[in-house]
Amino acid sequence: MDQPVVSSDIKSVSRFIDAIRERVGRVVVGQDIVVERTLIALFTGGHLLLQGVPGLAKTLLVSVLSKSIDLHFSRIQFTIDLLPSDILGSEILDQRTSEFRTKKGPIFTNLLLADEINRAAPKVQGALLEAMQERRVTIGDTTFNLPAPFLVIATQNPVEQAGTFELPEAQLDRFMLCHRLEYPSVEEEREVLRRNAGLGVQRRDGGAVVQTEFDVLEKEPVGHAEELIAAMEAVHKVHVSDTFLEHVVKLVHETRNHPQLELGCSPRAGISLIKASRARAVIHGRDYCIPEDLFSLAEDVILHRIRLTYEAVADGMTGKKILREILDRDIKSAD
Amino acid sequence: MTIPGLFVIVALSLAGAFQTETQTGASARIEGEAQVESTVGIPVQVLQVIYPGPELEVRDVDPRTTPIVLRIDAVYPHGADYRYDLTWSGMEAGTFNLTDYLRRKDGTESTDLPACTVTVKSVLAPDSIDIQLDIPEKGLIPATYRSAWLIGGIVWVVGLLGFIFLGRRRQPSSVQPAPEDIARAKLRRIEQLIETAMREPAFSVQQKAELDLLIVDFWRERRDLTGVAPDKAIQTLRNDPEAGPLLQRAERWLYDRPENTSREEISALLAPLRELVREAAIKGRPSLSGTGTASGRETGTSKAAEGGRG
Repeated sequence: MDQPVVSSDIKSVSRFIDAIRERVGRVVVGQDIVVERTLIALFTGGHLLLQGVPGLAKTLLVSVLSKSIDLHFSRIQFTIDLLPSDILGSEILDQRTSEFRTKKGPIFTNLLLADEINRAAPKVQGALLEAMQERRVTIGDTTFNLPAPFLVIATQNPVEQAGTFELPEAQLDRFMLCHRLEYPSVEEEREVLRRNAGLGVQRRDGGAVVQTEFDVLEKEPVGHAEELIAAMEAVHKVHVSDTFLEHVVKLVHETRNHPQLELGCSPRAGISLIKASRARAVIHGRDYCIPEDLFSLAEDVILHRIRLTYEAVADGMTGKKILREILDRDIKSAD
Repeated sequence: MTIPGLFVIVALSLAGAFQTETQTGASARIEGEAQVESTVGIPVQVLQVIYPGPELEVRDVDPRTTPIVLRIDAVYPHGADYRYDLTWSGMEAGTFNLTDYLRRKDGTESTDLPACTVTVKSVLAPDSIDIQLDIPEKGLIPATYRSAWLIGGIVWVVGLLGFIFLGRRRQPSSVQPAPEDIARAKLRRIEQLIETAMREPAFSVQQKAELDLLIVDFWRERRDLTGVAPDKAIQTLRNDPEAGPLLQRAERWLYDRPENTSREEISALLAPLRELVREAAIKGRPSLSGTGTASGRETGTSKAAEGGRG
């Protein structure tokens, strides 16, 4: 029992993960947790919602991640005038053959970055979220499966709320994780500036442009779909003990019975907690889930699925405070 | 003054309508006009009545029960006395003295005032109407309009204060046991669970879950990590030279596949943990200051190491 027996699957997946982290770390400073959450979403087939102000390297992170694993990457900037067909695709008339031809939209990709998802009209959000859930799209009379793997990383700016359409709880529930990005630390900020100052000028088409971080991304991937599939399989082999299930069930039920919560967690939240904990265990080189996985992921899995009562909001409570109180109580009064 | 049916004072005297001389020996002197007889409910006037002495006003009466309703329309100085224009109406048949419904404005006695007798007749035969007034006992309803407002205002303010201070959801107020008692109870519980786990192979899932979190709490308090987020606290503890190995072994026992942990390994893990808990129980609460009990730490380390080797 002293030396944890780590399976060869986990070891090879760990090497793959370390390579991705190393590649991402060359371009993106810090944001280790975001990288971890993105990998969790990728390994479990869940979707990730990132909440944070602009300029925190969200796009760069997803871009470098897709290049690291040789995945196709698309980005859609959501705006008020976006239409569902702009995302899903449409049928267009080919005048040479006088027949309709299907033009697939940017959703047909492996990694989709939906930037500022709350700026689009609800019908556009609905179209995307439905595709996320079903992993297929119907254009005209034909249904197309989305590529595998398919991961949506959506972003929301929590500050500018004017002209936005807030995602309702039912649609937020489709995101397995909702991570709140934070500003880099002082040391990380210093490193960001140092790296940016090292960028030069790039000659192109007889002219020149100032280089950005995107220009220095390495094209050669560190892994391919096979490694990703192996990682996904390893995640599904992670052992979830009855004791761990007990903790998850207790936590989910406590959110439903908390007096300051109007809306508690759905069963999907419990499923997401288990899935995400399994992926986190693999990322940390384990083949079984432990409470640390649960406590670490609780905020990202639960906070966007709960709604506070009017009285709790008036008392200045936040979802984060209530969740912390629940977790603390679980530890203090284990019974 | 031109109203038909009014009589000049002289005519009144002749008609003998004023019976004041015979009843009281003195009557109010009327220099104007007067109608001293009327039917129920019909208002009539008595003008320019001279009453001796200080100014008069109408007495407070209960309008629901008084037989005469009297109003002073105007008051005029008359030498040392006053002249009054009065309007009266009778509510029931009979002979009444208007002076009974007057009093001195300055509060002095008014018993010496001359009488001013009027007669109220009923058109209907006596007892033809049985009026049942449902008048509550005095005091059950507010005496005046002002007092009614006052009482209403008090009720409103009390209600508002009650709504503000009592209407809010009260936090359940329960008597919290002392922190030392809680700590002792926790240590006792950990020890009980450890002994159960060592004794019984069928250690239930609930007991496992409880024991694991109690161990985390034990070390969290010992390392003064109660203010730290649970996931950060566990991460710190897993890297702690003393708590880390114990926690990781406990995690493997509780969360890994059962076949990966033998009974001997469980005993080897739990025995030093039990000693650690017992020692903490003897020395008191697991240190909240983070300093812990130095000897406790040492013992814990050595026992944990022994357990690890076991």
